[in-house]
Amino acid sequence: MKYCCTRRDLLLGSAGLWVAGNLGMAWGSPRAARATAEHCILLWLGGGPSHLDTFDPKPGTAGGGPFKAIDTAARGVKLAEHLPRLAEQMERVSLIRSLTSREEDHERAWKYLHTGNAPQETVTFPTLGSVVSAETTAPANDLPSFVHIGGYGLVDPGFLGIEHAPFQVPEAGGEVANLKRPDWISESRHERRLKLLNKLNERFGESDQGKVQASAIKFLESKAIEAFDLAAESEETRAAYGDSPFGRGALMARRLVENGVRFVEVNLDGWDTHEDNFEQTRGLCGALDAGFASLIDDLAKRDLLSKTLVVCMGEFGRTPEINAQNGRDHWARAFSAAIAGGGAAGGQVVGATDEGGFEVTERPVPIQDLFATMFRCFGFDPKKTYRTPNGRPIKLVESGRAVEELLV
Amino acid sequence: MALLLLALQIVDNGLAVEEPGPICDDAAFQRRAWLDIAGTVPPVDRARAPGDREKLVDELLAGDRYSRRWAHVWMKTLTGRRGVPDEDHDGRRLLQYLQRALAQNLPYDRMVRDMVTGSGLGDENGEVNFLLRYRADPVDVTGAVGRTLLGIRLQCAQCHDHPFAEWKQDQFWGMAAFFSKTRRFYTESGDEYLPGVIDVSRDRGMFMPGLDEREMPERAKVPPVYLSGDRPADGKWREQFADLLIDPTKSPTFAMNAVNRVWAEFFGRGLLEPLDGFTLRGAEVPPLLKHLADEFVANQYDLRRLIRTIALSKAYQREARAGADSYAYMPVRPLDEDQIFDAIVDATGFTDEPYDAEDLSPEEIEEEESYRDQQPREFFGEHDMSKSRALALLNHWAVHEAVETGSRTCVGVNGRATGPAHVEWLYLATLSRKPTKEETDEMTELIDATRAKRSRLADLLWALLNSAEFTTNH
Repeated sequence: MKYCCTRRDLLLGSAGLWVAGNLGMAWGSPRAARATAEHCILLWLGGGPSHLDTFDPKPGTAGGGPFKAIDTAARGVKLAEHLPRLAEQMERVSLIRSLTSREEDHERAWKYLHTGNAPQETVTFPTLGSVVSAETTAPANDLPSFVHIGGYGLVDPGFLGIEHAPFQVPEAGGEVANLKRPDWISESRHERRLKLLNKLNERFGESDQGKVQASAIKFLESKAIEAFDLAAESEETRAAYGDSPFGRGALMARRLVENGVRFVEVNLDGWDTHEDNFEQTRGLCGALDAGFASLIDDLAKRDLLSKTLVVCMGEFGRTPEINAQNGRDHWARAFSAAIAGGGAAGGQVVGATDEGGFEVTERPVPIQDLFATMFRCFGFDPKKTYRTPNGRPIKLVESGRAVEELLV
Repeated sequence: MALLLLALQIVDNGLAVEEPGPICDDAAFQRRAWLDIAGTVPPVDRARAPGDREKLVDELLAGDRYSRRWAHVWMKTLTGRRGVPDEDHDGRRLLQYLQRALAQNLPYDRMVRDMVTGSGLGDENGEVNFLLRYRADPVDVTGAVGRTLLGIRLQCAQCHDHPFAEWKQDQFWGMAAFFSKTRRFYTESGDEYLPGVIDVSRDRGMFMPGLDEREMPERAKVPPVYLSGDRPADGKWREQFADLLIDPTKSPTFAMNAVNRVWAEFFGRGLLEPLDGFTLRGAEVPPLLKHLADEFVANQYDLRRLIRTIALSKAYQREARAGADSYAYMPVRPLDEDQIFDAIVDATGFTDEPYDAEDLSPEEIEEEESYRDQQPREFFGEHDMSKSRALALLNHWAVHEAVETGSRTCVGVNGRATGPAHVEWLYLATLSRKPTKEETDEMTELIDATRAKRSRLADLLWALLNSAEFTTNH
């Protein structure tokens, strides 16, 4: 409770200036001056995608599987064959093929890849979206800073407090729950209700509950709430993003970013392919390809890509060996992520794995380095120290260096 | 009686603060006690006449809302999950076990022993699902037992000796080795596989990993050794582990951890923070916690008695204040998702009776739980008071329906000619207190009660359900 108020007073209340003033500033490092990201879209591949069958193809090797590798718009960069539209966008997208971690349990790895910190029982680290929400100014049009679309709900603001919890959209498309009051409650009646509510809250005194509620009410009254309505897009655009919850989520993410939302996470679950890996991965790639490629293309055409960091990854990769069920199991020693926009270079490949895709052979990128890179794109100081409610000092990431060759 | 007074005296001395706040009034105490012990708000007739605090606490502890509420509380502590099945365990059955155990006031050490030693199918023996939640895997179980039952971060020692931590790697693996004869098995039932736990005679052996798992150093088999240094005789290692775990001379933090976690439910923070921050260096433990734990052991791990002492302490009876960080005032805490859901249901009469896990089949519990699991999540979001929850309270159809139901009941009880009596009833139902004269006048005027429209009562009820006073425990 109290720490939220303190944080708010510190960061937003007493001086939105404090944040704004520091955003583009140096944080003691001259490099931060080139920070260009103002928004971030995380395309989360829940369950852990096979790196071999997506971003790090190894056709012809023992565990390479049946998928071919295809050429892309970036010279010498290949993708697995079921990402043809993304291939056309690869001059704008870079790959990290040398992520490496030790967390092979879904929940722990999910937390690691969402927070940049190996999970600890005693601290709830905020996920990336909450960090971005806390470190940037809130959209002036009263939309939430952080929207989470689909997927399961471990997303926790941790010690940053409930103000930085996401607004959750269970599934994109159709009507988003709880954004409209029922028709039978007239405007005047609604106003009367709000007046009663204000009276009650005034008497109770200031509270975090009251503050969050006040911002929720402003959100409901914002014109920009139309950003959640995909019907405003042309049929053609909707078709390009693909007829899938993920595609609709990616389209919603673009609309939200256009309207100032700072962080959008879009989930595509189902990558935990212990059985029938290839059949399943091919289907998932269809949704991913349409959504991801359209998003990049669309952001670029609207001049949003340079200020929108797009990251696509899951909690780990999958075994380069194919198991008896024609599936692949968890593999965290070497896996891939794609990154684009927001100050990240396109067309690059960082790191490499061995012939079979088992181990990192070049430029290992620990998870903390990935987070340091994303924070650098935003100009956040990864060494910035927060205090948890019980007074423990915590850095955004404990260690980690930005991957310089990925920065524009 | 004298014993309780003595215990209370000790609690109050142990929490001596400068300038303690005043003791709260009976209505505030009643609401707080209902929410913390029974997980919901009191009914209108109780709210109207709060009565004796000691009697109230005893009554709540004897009621079935206590076992229902606290089954969920322990479930969250022990498994971090709600009572739903997943691929590893059947949370419904564990919830059922816990609720039964609490209803009988089974001593806490017995409850823990049941869960640690439980064997057979999780579908048949509810307590087995505690180990199944951790896949009956020695490493995961050891980490979970350390964290949830001993309040220690043993799992940090899993990979290496931490320079500052007290636990050494071989201690972790020595503890884990007690479970190296324990196996998970599956039985086919229809088109499902049901998991269970069984002990076998063959010890699979626990091997300590090297610092970097990519190096494969010589790995030595670690024998079972408890933190106290005790080694099991031949035979059932898991049972001997449970005996050592619940023996206060072998596990000095076992009782303290339980007391600390129960305390945290009542005050929003433990006497020792973080909750899994116990070390062998007992000096860091507040003397009050030590004392309450000794009492708890002396009273045969009687949870109701422990709660009684906490709930009747002066500290628990002080007035609330937002952000209170000493025991001079009670902190204002957001209701959790169970409390807010049940409070809305009970305040308005919306939906069915609360269910008792004891009386229902697993399928029925699942239905109830998924309703509570999915719906409130949809209603109220993942977090205690996130924007998602705020929006749900403002707009969700269920809240609107609850408001309609509640306002109808209000008219039914207080008559069609609306007036101050209706305002008072709505305050009692939601905020568990009477409105002040000023509030009655103000609200009566705002809803223009003289026009006798039920819809105006619904408007007030909607505002009350959304108010910070309703959505927090204070």
